[in-house]
Amino acid sequence: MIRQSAFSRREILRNSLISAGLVFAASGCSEPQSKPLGLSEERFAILAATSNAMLPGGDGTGALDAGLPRIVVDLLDEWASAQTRTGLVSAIDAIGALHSAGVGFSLADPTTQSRLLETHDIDMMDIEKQGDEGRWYLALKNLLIAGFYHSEIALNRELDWDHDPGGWTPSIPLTRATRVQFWNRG
Amino acid sequence: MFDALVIGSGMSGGIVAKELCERGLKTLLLERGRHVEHGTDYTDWMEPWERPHLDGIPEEEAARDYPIQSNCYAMTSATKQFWVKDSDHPYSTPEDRPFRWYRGFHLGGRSVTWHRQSYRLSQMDFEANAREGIGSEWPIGYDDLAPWYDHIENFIGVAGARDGIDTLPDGDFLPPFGMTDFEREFALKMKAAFPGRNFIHARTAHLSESRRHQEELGRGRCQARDICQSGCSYGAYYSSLSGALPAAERTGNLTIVTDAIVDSIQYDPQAGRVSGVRVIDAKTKDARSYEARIVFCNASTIPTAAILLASRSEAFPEGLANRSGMVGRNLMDHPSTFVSGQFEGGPKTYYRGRRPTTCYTPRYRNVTEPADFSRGFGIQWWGTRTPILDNGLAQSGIGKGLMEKARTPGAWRMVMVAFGEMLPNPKNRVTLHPTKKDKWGIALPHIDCSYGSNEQQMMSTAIVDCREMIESAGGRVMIESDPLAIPGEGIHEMGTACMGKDPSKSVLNGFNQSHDVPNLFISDGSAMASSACQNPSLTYMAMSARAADAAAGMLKANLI
Repeated sequence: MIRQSAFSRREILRNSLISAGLVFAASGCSEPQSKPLGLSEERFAILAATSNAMLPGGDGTGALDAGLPRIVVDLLDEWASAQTRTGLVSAIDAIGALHSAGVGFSLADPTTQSRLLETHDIDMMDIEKQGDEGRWYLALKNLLIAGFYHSEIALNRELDWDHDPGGWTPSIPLTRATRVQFWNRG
Repeated sequence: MFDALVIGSGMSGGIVAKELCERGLKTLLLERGRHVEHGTDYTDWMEPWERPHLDGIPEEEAARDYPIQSNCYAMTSATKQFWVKDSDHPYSTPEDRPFRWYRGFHLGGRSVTWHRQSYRLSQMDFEANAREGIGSEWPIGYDDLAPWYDHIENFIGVAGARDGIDTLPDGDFLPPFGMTDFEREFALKMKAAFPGRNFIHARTAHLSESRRHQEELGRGRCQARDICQSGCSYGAYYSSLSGALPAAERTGNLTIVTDAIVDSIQYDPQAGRVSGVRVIDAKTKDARSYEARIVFCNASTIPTAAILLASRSEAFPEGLANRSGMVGRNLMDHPSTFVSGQFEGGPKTYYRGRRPTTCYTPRYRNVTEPADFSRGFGIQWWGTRTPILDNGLAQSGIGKGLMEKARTPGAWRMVMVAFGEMLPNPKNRVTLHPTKKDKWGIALPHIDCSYGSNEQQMMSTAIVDCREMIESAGGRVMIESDPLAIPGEGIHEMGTACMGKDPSKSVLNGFNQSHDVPNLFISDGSAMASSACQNPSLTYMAMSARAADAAAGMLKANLI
C-alpha cells in the first residue's frame, strides 16, 4: 500500500499520466536556471532506442510512429526545470551505459536493446534499493509513456479517444476488442 | 448612481446580479479580473495532443509564478488562464501554518472552474451550531432556504436522483449520470453491510438534459467530455458565464466593469449607509468611485473580509460592518482525505464517455452512526478500470506487455474522497498584513488557519471507514492519504462574515444584511455560520437569490 503524505485533489482527481509520472520530478523542482537546448546526437540516439524498446511499433503503432523522441526533447527544453532535466538526462545516460558482449546500448540491435532495457527496468523498479537513479528512471519511463499516450496517433490507434462522446453510457460489454478510453480521471 | 452594486462576478455575485436585474434594479457588477467571453475564450476545443507540455505547466514557471495554484488538480496548461499568478497576488500566512488559496481573477471567477457538486444543507446542519454551542447560531433554517434551493436548481440545472434522505434534502433534479455496473454492485454490497449509510448518484450542476429556459440562454446538454475546467462551449455545466450573466444582461439592467479592484466600500456617516465603492483600475492603477443605493459584497470569502477590514472610518475603526469584531474570523474549509483500492473480478463491463461527476455517500456519522467527534463527513467515490493510476503502467515492464496493459481495461479500482465539516473557530482568521501591500497598494490578506483536534479525529475516522468499505466489498487498499490536507485544499473557504442571530457575535442577519449597515449585503461563502460537509456553492447561490430578493423588496419599500 502507498501512503501519500501530501494529499492534494490534483493527485487523485487529475491523475493523468503526466501528473502520476512526474511527481518525483516536480517535487524536486528548483529555481530557474539556464535553458537547455536539446540533446546531443548521442543522447538522442539513446532516447530513440529507449523509446522504441519501451513502446515498440512492429505491426502496430509505436513510439517512433508518434515521434516520441522529439516530444520528449521538447519537454526537456520547454517543460522541465534544470534539475529535472539533469535527472532525466542522467537516466538516459544510465541506459546508454548498458552494454552486452562489449556492445553499447545505442549500437546494439533492437532485440538486444529490448533485452538490456528489460533487465534495467526490473532493476530500477526496486526504487528503495536504487534511490535517485531508480526514481529518475521511473520519471523518464513515465514521461515516455505520457508522451506516447498523449499523441494523436497513439490515442486514436492504441486507445479509444473521442473528444465529444456525446453522452455518458455507464455500461457497455467488455470484449477482447474493447480499448481503454483516454480519461485523465480514469 | 446605480440602484445596486455587486462586487464579484463569481458563483454568488453572478446570481445576485441576475436576481437584482430581473427585479428591475439598474445593477453595476464589478469584477477585479479580466473579461472572459463565454465560448470564444475557452480551450475545450483542444485535443490532448494540442495541449502544451502534455497539459503540464513548465516546472520553472510553476515554481516562479504559480507555487500555490499549480497544486490545484484542475490547473493545466490549457486552463492556466483561469488561475491567478501567485507572484502577482501574494498573501501571507504564519510560517508553520500554510494555507493554499486557489483563485481565479476573471469574469465568472471560480464558477468557471468549480467541481460542480451541488448539495443542499439540511435542518440538521442549520441547527448544529446552536445545539453544540459552537460559533454563531444560524438565523435561518432549512425551510427558509428550501424554496430558493428549488429556484436555483431549476435555473442552473442539477443532475441527481431523489433519494429521500432527510439530511440531504432532495430537489428539482435532472436525470442523474448513471453508475457503472461496478459502482452499482458496490453500492448494493455497502448498503447491505452498512444499512445506516447511503450510496447515491452525485448531484451535479450539469445539464444531463436541457430545459427550455436553459436553452434560451444558449445552454445545451452535457457531452460527457470531462474537460470542464477548460470552459464548456456547450454551456452544459453551470457557471456565471453560461447562466447568470446572460440572464442578467438580457434584462437591459446590467452594467459590467472588469479590471476594477475594489479597494474599499465607502460609508456615509450622516446617512448611516454605504454609498458606493472606491476601485483601483487593474491596468492603469488609477482610482475611481462608483455610487449605488445598495452594495452586495460577493468578492469571495477572503477578499470580502479583506475589503471590509480595509474599509475603515471613524464610525468603523476596525473595519466596515465589524462592530462585532467577527469580520475575518471563523475561516473554514473542508478537510479532505482519500483512500483507493483495487478489486479482483467484478462486472465484465466497461463504460463510454467521460462522466463529469462521481457517486456520493452523504454524512452518516452522528446521523445514523455514532462518533467520538462532532459533525461528520461525506464521501465522493467512483469506480474506474483505466490502468493509469498509481504508476500502474510504469510497473508493467516494457514493450508489448506494457502496451497491452495500457490498451486493455484493467482491474476495477475504487477511489473514495471524504470531505469533512470544519468547526468554526474565531482564531482561524483573515487580517490585513500591517505593512505588506500588493502592486496596487492594497494591504495583503494575512491568513492564519489550522485544523483542530475535531477535524483530525473526524478525518482519521473517514480513512478507517473508507478502508473498511473497500475491504468489506472485497477490495485491497492500494493508496491511503494522511488524514488532513493543508487548509485551503478543499477550495471551500467560507465563514469570515458570518450570519447570526446575535449582532454582537455575527456580521449578518438572516437576510445576509449587515447588522451594522442596512444597505450592505454579503452572500458569498463568508456568510456561512457553519460549513456542514456538503460542497457549498449551491447554498451560496440559494442564499444569494434570497438575499437579492429581500434587498430589492426593502429598497422598493424605502426601508433601506
